[in-house]
Amino acid sequence: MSINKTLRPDLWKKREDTLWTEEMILNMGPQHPSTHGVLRLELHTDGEIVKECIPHMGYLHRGIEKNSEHKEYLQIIPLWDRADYLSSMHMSYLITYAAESLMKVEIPKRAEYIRVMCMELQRLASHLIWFGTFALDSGAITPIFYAFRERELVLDLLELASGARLLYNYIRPGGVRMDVNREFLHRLDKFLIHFQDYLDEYEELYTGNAIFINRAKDVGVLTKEEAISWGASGPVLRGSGVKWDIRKDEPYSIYEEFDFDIPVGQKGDVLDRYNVRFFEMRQSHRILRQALDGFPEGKYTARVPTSIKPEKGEVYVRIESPRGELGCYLVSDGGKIPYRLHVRAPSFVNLSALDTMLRGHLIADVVLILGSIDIVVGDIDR
Amino acid sequence: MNKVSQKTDFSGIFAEKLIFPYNYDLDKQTLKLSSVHVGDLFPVLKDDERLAFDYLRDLTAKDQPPGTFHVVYNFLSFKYRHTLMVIAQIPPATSGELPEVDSATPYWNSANWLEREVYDMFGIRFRNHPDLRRVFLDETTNFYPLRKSFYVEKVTNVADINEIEEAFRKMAEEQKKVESKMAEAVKVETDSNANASYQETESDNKL
Repeated sequence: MSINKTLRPDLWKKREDTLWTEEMILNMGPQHPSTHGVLRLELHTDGEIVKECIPHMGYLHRGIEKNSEHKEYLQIIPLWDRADYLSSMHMSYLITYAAESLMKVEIPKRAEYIRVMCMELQRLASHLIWFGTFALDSGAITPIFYAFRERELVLDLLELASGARLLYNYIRPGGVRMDVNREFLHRLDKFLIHFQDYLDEYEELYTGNAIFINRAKDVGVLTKEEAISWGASGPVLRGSGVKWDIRKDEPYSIYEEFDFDIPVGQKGDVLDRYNVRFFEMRQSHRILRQALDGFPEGKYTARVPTSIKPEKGEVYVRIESPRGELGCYLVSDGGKIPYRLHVRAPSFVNLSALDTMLRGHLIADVVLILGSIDIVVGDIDR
Repeated sequence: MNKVSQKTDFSGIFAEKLIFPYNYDLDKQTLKLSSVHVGDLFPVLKDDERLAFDYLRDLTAKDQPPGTFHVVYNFLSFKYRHTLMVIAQIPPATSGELPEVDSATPYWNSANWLEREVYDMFGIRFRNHPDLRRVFLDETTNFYPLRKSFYVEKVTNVADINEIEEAFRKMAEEQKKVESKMAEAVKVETDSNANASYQETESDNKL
C-alpha cells in the first residue's frame, strides 16, 4: 500500500520528525523448537528486518575432545557417536578411519561394503529427519509424519545390523562389530524396492508445491564466493554451485567403485539446498542398490588387537557426512591413547555463514534458513 | 588417508616466495614453520596463482610437547584440487602471557569461528581478529581446557551456581600452578635457547 504524501505535506513533515526506529535485540532460543537443540540466536532487528545475527553456542558442550585424550580408541568411538547423534555411523567411521590411517591394516572387502551400506542408510535417516523438520519449519505439518514412517524402516535395518536404533558403536578399527545376517539383506532389498515410491510421494506432496517454492525461492542466498570463503561444506556448498563431494573427489572406503551423481544448485538459496538434499537421497538409494547387488562374501573384520596402537604421526582425514565435511585431525604418539583428536564439525562451520545468509531478511525467514543448513547442536558444541 | 586427486610439488614456489626458514614435506603435503611468519605466508597461499588456496577447511591447535603450541591449518584449492597442511610452531611466550599468532580472518572468513574455538580451548590469541570471544565456555572462566596442563580427572559434578564458580576458580588456579612448574622446568633445561627460530628436530625428539 502506497501512501499519498502530497495531500497533507505539513502533517507528514511532522510525522517524519517524530517517527523514529531503533535497533531491537531479540533472543531466539536456547529453548526454541526451531533451533533444533539448545542454540541461542541473538537477532539485532530493525522492525521485521534482521540486521545482524550472533549465534551463542556451548549449551551442549561436553568436552569430548578432551575426554578423547584420556581413553583408548575403542572407548572413544561411543563418545563421538553422541556428538552428531543423527549420523552416528559417520562419526564412528571417522574415528575408525583416522586410527586406521595410522595403522597398517588391510580391511576386508565385505567389511567395507557393510560400512558403506550402513553409512548410506544413515544418510537416508538423517536426510529424512531433515526433510520432516524442514517442512515443519516452513509451515507444513504433514511431511514429518511421512518422513518418520520411512525413517523407522531405516532404523529397523540399522538395528538389525548393529543391535541399536540410534547410537550404534558398530564400525570399529578393523571392520565392524558383527556380520550382517541374511534377513538384513533380504529386508534391505525389500526396502530399496519401495523407497523410490516413497520419494516420489514426498515430491508430489511437497517439492512441486507452489506455496513452498514461493516461500523458499531467493531466500537466504549464499553466493559461490561467500560459500567458499566461509568454509561451507556439504549440501550448503553444493547448493551454492560448487561441485565438491568428498566421496567422489577425495574418495575413502570403497566409494570409488560406485556410480553416482553429485547434485549442484545454481543460486545458493534455500530452494537449491532443499533440492540438493532431496537429490542426494536418490543417489544414496543408487549406491545402496549397487552395494547390495555386489555384496561380497568374506570376513567382516580384520585381525586387530583389542587395544590398538596407531603409529606415531599425525593425519587429517575427512568424510562426507549428511551435513558436510566431517574432518578429524589425529595426533598419535604411538600409544594406546590419542595424543590429540580434533573433529572439524560441519555444522559448526556452516553455522558461521548464517549471519551472511540472514542479513536483510525477515524474522520469519530465520527459521527457514536455519532449517536449510541442517544443523545438529551436538555436532556444533562437541 | 583419503586419496588426493592432485598432488602438486610446491617446493619450487615456496623456494621462490618464502624468505624465512621452513620445512616442506612433499610426501605428506605438510609445511612446517614458525608462527612468527604465518602473516607473510597467508597472502602467498591465497593470492599466488599457482597455489590458489581459496578454502580453509580446518584450523586447530595442538600442545605437543606439553607447553609448546602449534596452530594447524588445512587448506584446499578448488581450482587445482590440491591440499596443504601448515603446522606453525609458536615460540615460547613470556610466562603469564597468552601466546599470539596472526589471524587468518582477513584472507578466509571460515577462520573466524575456528580461531575463536582455538582461543577458547588453548588460550592462543589471534592478532587482528575482529571478534575474539570464547565460543563454548563462559566468558568469565579463566582456564584453557585442551592444554595438557589441564587435568580432566579433577572435574566433578556441581549444581549450585556458587559451587560452579568455586570449581572454575579452582580449575584455573590448578592449571596456573602446573604451567608455572612447567615453565620453570623448561627454563632450567634450556636457558640459552630462547630465540624464536624454528627448530623441528628438538621438539620432535622431546616427544
